Amino acid sequence: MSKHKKSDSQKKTQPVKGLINVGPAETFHQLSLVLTAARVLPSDLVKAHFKHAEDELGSKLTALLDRFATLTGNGRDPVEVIREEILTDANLGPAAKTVLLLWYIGGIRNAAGDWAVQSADHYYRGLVWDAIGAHPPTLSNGYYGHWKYPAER
Amino acid sequence: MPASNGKISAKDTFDVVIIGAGVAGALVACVLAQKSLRVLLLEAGETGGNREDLVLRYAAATFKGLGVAYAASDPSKIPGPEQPADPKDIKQARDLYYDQQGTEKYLSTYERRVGGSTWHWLGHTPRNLPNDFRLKTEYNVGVDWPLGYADLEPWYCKAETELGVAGDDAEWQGVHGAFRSAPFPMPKIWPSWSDLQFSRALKATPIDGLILEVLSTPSARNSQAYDGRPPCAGNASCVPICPIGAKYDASVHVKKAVANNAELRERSVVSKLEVDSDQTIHLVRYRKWDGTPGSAWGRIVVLAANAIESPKLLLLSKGDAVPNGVANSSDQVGRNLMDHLQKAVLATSSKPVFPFRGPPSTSGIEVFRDGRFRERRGAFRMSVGNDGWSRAGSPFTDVANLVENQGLFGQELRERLFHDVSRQVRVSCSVEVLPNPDNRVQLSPLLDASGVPRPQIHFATDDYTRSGFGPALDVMSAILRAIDAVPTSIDRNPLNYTGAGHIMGTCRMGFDRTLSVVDADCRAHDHRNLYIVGSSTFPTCGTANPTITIAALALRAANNILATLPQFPMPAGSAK
Amino acid sequence: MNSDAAITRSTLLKLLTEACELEHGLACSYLYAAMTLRQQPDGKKLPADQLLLVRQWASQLYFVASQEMLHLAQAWNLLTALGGTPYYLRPNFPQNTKYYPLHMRLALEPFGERSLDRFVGYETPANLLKEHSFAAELIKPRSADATNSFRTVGELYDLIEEGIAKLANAIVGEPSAQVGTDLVDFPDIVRVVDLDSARKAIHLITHQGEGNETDRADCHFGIFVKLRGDLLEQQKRNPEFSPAHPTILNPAVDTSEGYGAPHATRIENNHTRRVASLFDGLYSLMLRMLGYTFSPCGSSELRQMLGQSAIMLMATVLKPLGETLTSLPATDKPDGPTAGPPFGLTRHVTLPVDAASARTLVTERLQELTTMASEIASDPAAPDSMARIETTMLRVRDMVEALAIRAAGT
Repeated sequence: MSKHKKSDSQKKTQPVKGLINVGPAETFHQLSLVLTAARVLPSDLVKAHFKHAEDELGSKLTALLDRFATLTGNGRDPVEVIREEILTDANLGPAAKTVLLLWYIGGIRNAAGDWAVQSADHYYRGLVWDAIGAHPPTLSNGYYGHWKYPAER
Repeated sequence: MPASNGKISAKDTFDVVIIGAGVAGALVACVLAQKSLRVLLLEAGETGGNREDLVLRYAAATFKGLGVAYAASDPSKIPGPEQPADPKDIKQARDLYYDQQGTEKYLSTYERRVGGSTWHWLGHTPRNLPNDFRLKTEYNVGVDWPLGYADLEPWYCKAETELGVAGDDAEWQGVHGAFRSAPFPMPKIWPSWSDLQFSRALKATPIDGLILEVLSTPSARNSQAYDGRPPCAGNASCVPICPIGAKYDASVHVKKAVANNAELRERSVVSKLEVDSDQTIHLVRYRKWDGTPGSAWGRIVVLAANAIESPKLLLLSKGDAVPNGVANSSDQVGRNLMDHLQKAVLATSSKPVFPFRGPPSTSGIEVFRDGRFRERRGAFRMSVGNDGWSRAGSPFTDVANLVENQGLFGQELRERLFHDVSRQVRVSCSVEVLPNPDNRVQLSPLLDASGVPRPQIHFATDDYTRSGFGPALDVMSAILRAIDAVPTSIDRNPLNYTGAGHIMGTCRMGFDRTLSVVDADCRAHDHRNLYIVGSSTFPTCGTANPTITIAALALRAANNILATLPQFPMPAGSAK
Repeated sequence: MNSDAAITRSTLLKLLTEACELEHGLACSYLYAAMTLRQQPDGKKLPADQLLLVRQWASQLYFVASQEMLHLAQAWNLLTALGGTPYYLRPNFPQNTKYYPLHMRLALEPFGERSLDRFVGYETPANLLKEHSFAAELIKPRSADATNSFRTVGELYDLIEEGIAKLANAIVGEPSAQVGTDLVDFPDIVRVVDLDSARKAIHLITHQGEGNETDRADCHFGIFVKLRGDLLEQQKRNPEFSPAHPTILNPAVDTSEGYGAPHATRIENNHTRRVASLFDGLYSLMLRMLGYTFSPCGSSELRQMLGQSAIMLMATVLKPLGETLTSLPATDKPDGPTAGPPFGLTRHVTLPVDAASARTLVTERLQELTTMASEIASDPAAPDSMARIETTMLRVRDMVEALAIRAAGT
């Protein structure tokens, strides 16, 4: 029986170019692309999550974006930058993780331990649902009976 | 001749006044309205927003508890165990409302709104088994019901047609002796991929010498277009809300009742049932949210306010004629409070099963719901979940853990997340509770935000129920081994359980008026024009989700009401 | 209609093949409309609350399409009961107006007022025809020729039912050849073994489609009427409401005469056209696999295996592939229209009866199509969903190969 062949289609992350000269919003966009490994992130959501992250993290976000822009501006592989320079940093690491979870869940964890999303829209567009081969509760992409078959993944 | 109608206007005079617009009240209202009777449906809660608004509220909510979609427009007017007077208290709502005085907390809650708790029920409709109605005769525990499965069976069929139940005739004919005289209205809800893996594995692996059959669970969930509602699309959000109405909720019958000229008065909190000198109850007093008092007069009054609010109202209505509360010469009102107590085991399967798709549960194992062992310990129903480890906060907890604790991101995060979550399984058991007079609802000296005494609850489990958990957990462990799944943990402490949301027993039915509140027709022994419908009338609770039994009893009671009405004519001189 | 003389078996079989083409064509039209509906919120065009409704509409269209597929399967059972074999061909889209006596065009059109209007028309019971905006087209006098005298799908089935009732010795097919739920995931499918079950099968079809006098809401007709009303209401609420992708009409991989759809719209974008070609290849293979399941003389293990694999392909590969196509560009213009699944059928053989040959054909073709999917997925222009589809195809291919090997061993 033939083994499942790993596909060749895993896309390599493109190196991020010239981040020194772009604003924090675009840096946030580029950082988000690398953190999530998404090919494309919708621009309205990038804007909204940037604002939410700014409100929550303040100067910690600025520091994160500056470091990311600086290190990747030299042509270093952004994945390596994140893994070795950012996640390992006591301040930048948590900030990056907050941003990543914001993309996945659509919200930021509050003091009570709950995930505060800013709108139904953000909840629905969290990346977690697609990543687990499902869909957000109340927004099925399916038809009657689809749960009988393996997930489209 | 009724004496108390003199001051009531025609617009407040009805053939039947029904208190509570949940599934029981709505069904009775619908049946009677279709016979062109003048029906009033009084509901303490409100209709509150269209379905899309409720869904969006849920999606935007930070704490996704049972009641978040249903927050009232003015919570202080309608406090309840899911809705605190102050929205920021939502996590503590239950114990801000229940005055918990028992050694164990009573865990199940309900919604106070038009349509009641069926808005957020799972939708499962297995029937009670024949022996569930005769525990005392068969096993010498608990009590017998004053009617049997065969008496209720035709009404089960009618209830299934009214609600729209999907099920498999071949699978369910004769399970534990429960014969079916009519086919299910709709073919079964398709089992999930996960169910099929369980089924296959269990067919090949006997457990304690038994081949466990996985049966699709009968559900009030459309498997095809039915009654103008669409088929299930697998939104996976039945609890707490179906965004498309494929899952039945009682707003269906409220609408039908109103379409047949029943009058719905919402935001009307009933405060007292007035007892006449001849022990009839015609006058119902209520207060609107804005404080305006109101009253309604019915030839017959039906109390359908759920198993906490119904006894509460009966006790609140005590007076000189009824010093122990309305319908309470037996002293059973509020007593015998029951629930189904549940334990879940979460596990990791060796192969992906793709949870978070389809209804939270589509199949179960029914074989342990009856047997000789019930002489010594409680029976249990087992269900298989399609909702992964959502009870532990998945998938949010999983992605948070992988990111925060393991530092994963990018493609690796996606792959690990899918790998882990796609293998999440859950099996659950639901154990029966025997009636115990000390498990009860009384009036607390503490008042709720609207100035009404809170329900004071005493509840404790006994050995009968606690010794049901052990065997259930053993079976669940064996099932998980059979499908090559590894449990995360198994909590054997019988005091650590969750409530099923099945509130039952507090106005139980029986032959003997000294030991019960209503008779087999749900008619109060003490007041012959008062009916009580809902799960408060259950003398024992078996292991089945109660709603279809509630519905069957309600339809049967409505039929009885039609026969009884002539005994209680309209007052002389009252306009029709 | 001349109802005194019995219709011959040959005419009945031809009428049934016409029914097959219709059910099949309807299923594709409904699927196409469902696949064009958006799945993500999109600013003012599709805010989150309207997206909830749009997903509901999609699942209802899929539901109706699945019932049309059941009807097609039911028609196949009827065909084999009468001594025929399953018929899976149909003209490519758009179909000639005069092709059926219905005088209505079957087309692949995105979800919208126009397509919904057409859908309502397809499912309208004969006695309601006058109310429909297509009334002028639909109310043609019935001709004397039995095979040309139906104005609705319902009337076609009436003809068939009458014909079966009057034909001496109508049911000649082997009962064991009939397909039941053990072979395919159609919970309501009726095995046609006598006149009663033939009637039951036909009534199931017409009831689900047109309903009856007292129960219109739950049939296709009622569902489409409601959908159309809901759409109009949402358009009033939100003038920018755009529930569907702007897909071209009747997309095709190829519009040459040999392909049979000269008025189709060729997909110009090379990458998208390749994806569409993959879709058509899978679609054709799936039909041929199902055809084997429904034919009266194949190996029973293989019939079951192919039936279940075909449904699996439909649900887990064809659906996401069709949905992917409706957001891929049809042209090379950046903001131009998008494409869609062409459901294009070309000449091909039905699978042979011999199990070993059938297995070889299926596994080879599935491997070819999987390789094609991998190539497409590795193209930089491919959307994320293609990687997922490729993974699923690899899994299905492995599953089919394993089942084929097991079937070979028995």
